[in-house]
Amino acid sequence: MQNANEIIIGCINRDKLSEDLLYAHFAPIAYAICLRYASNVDDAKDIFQEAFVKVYLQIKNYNQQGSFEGWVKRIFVNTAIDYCRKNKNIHFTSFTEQYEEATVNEEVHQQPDIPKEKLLQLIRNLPDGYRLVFNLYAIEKYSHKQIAETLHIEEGTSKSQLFKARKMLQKEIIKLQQNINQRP
Amino acid sequence: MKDLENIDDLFSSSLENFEVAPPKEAKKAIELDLQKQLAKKNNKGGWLLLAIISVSIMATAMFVQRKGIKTEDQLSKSSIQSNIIGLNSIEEHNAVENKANGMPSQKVAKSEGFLTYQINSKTDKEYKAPKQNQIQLVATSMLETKQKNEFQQNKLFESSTKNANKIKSNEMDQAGLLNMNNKVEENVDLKNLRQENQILLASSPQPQIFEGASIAMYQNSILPPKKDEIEGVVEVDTSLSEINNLPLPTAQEEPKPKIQHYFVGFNFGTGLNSNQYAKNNSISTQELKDSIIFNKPYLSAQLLCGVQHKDLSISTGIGFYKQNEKIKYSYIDKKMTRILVDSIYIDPFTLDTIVKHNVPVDTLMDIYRTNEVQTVYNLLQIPIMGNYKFALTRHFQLDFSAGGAINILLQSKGNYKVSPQGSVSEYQSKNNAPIKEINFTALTMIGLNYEINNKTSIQMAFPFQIGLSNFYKRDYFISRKVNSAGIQLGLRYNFK
Repeated sequence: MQNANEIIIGCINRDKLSEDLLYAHFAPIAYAICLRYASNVDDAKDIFQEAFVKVYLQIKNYNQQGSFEGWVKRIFVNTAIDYCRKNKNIHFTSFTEQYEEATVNEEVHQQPDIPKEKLLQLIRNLPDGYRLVFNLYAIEKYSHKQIAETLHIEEGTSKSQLFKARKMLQKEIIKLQQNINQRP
Repeated sequence: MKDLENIDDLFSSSLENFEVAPPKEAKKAIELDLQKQLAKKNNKGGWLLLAIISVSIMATAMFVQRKGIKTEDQLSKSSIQSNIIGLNSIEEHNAVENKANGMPSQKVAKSEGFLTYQINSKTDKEYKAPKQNQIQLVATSMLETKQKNEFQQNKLFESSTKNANKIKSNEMDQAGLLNMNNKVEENVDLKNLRQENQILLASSPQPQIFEGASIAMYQNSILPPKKDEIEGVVEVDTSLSEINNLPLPTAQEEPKPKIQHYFVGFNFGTGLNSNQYAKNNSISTQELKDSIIFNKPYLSAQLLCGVQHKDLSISTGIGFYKQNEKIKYSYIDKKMTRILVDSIYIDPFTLDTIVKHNVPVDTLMDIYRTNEVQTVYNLLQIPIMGNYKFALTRHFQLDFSAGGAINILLQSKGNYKVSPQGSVSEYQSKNNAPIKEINFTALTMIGLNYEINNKTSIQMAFPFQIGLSNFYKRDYFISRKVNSAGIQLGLRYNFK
């Protein structure tokens, strides 16, 4: 059994077994990332393929600083962002409302019985701009400043996109909760 | 607001490490894409290498040319030097001889009637002698009785000088010495002197017959012969710079190349092929696009002959062209496969639901296949090219060529590997090859010629070949036109 370092070295040397092991280990988590950023499966496949090739080609540049998994995930996230920028003409509408004060009446509690696939589908149903910002903020833990720099938008725009995304998701989750509660 | 943040947590905790199995074909697609990228990278490396080699060759050629000029220049200096040394040694020899003949001079340089001093006319023009190297040129008229008489009567130079009277007014010593030392500018038209009497002081590419006279050259540091010691000597005191300013006699100019001449030559080349594909049958164009083509360098050697008229030429010849290629392509094949299924049906009589397990069913399944074809083609190439030369410098010419070539298949050999079955078949024949026995290509070429001399030149060129006809036979599963780009080096010999 090869350890992580051996797999990395093997991949640098174009060893087929190491490449297969790397793929087997990271493909599921990487594909889930792609699905989160893409609005449809074809886009997700494209991002997945492009990013994995990048991983194989760039692995020699991995400098052992930080976790390897973090490095791989970053490649997938960056590729997804580039892909969305290139292939989707995303318009980030500026938000001037006082969204900070906005309130939502319904309560949302974490529902352990909502399947993860459903949650993923909810994210994928978001408009492109909302989806990008929500993914980066809520899951990748980017700050609004970082998002603004990455996507070349205003911080305010990032905040507004996040707010709208959250609201949409909240509505959908409430619907889901109601459906679940109505089941006999 | 808190609810909204809960949403973040809900998604973050659920999806941060969420895993979804990717589609099965994704791995193959990644492998193909990766190989394609690596092949591209390798090609980039190849082109970079080619560019580096080309630039190096050009730089070397320019360096050699510059060095060549310098060397020529240096040669002219050393030639002067060697002449001086040479003549000095002749002087020593002649001193004895002259003494024996009763000649008074230690410094008379007697030649055998040839002007031994040669400087290439072009170089002579370019040569700028520093002051300390200014030389004195001493022409010595010798000593056959008839010529001596003529010389003494000043006939040798009389016809060549516009200011003959003035020369005559110069003192001639008892031995008939016409001493023009330090008075050249006033009295002698050097141009005429050189042209009419063929006393070429320093500008001839060929040895000049200089009957009855000798030439000696002295640096300033060497004292010229004393006039009262020398019999029959004409001293012309001038410097090379003065000589350089004179137009060269037309009779002595380097012969121009003939307007029309023939040439033979050979060249060697290498480069890479690129391919234009189109589908013929079962394999789709998209699948072919996804294939990986490993371009390996081709090798070529050609013997050429042709005729040149002014700057235009036409050439033909015969060449050997060795083309290597390796193609790996993937496609989805249908295969009849037996699978086991659960069968559920309702008995039409009893209306009971009947379940049967493991019922064998034949179905068409998609099989992902990869074929790898590695082939070497040996071709006989007959090119016909038109060519235009554009002079850059005296030695360098830019060369544009265009034409076509007929390629005749001599032999093909290689192997054909199919996976996942892993079967490998090898072939080596002419008849079984999928390519046509004759195909046609268009050729264009841009090159740089360096003329070593009037007859010989070397050439570095970048040939581009564009496929005109399908490389493969009609019933092969794909059509393909072969293009190539490369570099070639050659040598050419001109003759009448």
